[in-house]
Amino acid sequence: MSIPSIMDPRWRRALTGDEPKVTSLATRLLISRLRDDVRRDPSAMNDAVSQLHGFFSANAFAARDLSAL
Amino acid sequence: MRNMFLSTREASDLIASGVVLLAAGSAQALAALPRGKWIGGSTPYFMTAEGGRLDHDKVFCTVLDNAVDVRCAVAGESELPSLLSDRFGNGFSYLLIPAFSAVHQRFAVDAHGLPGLYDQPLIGWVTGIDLGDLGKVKPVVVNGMTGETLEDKAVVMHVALKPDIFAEADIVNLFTQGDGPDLVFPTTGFSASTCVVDGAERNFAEWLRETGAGTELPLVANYNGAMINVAFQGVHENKVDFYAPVVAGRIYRLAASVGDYPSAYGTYCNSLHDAGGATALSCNCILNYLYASLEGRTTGSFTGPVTFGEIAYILLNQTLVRLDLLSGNLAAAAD
Repeated sequence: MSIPSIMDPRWRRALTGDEPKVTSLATRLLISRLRDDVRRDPSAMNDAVSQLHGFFSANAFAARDLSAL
Repeated sequence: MRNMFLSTREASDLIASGVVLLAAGSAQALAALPRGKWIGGSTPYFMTAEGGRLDHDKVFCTVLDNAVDVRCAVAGESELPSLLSDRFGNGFSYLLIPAFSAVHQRFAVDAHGLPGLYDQPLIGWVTGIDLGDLGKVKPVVVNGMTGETLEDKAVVMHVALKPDIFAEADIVNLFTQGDGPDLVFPTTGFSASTCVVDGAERNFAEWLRETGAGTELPLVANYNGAMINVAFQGVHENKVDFYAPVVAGRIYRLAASVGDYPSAYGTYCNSLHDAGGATALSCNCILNYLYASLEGRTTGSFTGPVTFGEIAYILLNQTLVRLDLLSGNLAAAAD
């Protein structure tokens, strides 16, 4: 499965909209932490999107969570 | 991965054969092992294929047949930020931390912010001792590559995997959030005096006494669907101590009742029999061992050390942690 571009709106939506229904532990923990970061400081959004995109690029097991974003 | 509960002689022969190995055993048992490609942590409690067991003589070994290379390092409190900097391109890291040490406290609070934490699986456990020796001896970790035994530093093994194998860490947790009030703590830490209970500030110890809540069941926070426990260590006059830190601002609830803990855990574990535990790298918590009376009982097909804290990216309590190696092509998956 291909990873959406870092400009894709799904990354931001995962960090601000309804909690995405992901299943892998790492995805759950990371999104939870990044949503907290963005809630506390909205200017952290670009860095959070970069971390989320990098995570999906690095972890093959997380591919199954992409469809939930 | 191959899980084995061995005599120190058998484990020594295995190490001498050159395999990559993760070990758990009493400090005396670990001290009997030769140098080689292994790291280990102290605990005399184990989940074996025959059930939970206290044993000071044998060692629990997991052989990593799919490892193509390893790097080991030790890290004190100040070196934690660079803990993961020496990882391989494809693999996982296995971390052992002595209980009650400064590095244990620091990891518990700061793990979430470790650079690159989620770029690759990190699992491990907090090393322990015989509960009868509390206050008399200290838990240790051992770097088998150098022969160092340490009470105040963590040891990590970074494992490189073949390109067509990747690792995934997960947890097996009996507990979910109950339907009680939201509990929010104003500060992060292993102790709490004040807690906001459904919006009202309360002394947490007093509130626990008033509600008659037991401390065998943990606090549970929902991390985007992952149920993360914080176990109670003790309720004092005006404060409550935990085995892992509560995080400021996060919403906790008391765990939903499971009825009789030993039978609930037994039923839960029976449902895990087909969950691939025999080939997983796993560990389980000493609190589950005690509260669910696991001595002589199995936890599905999962075997491994019984620990004073579990690590799956962050510090966990009252949880079984597992790591599985899966076949696949990382590059293809990321295309």
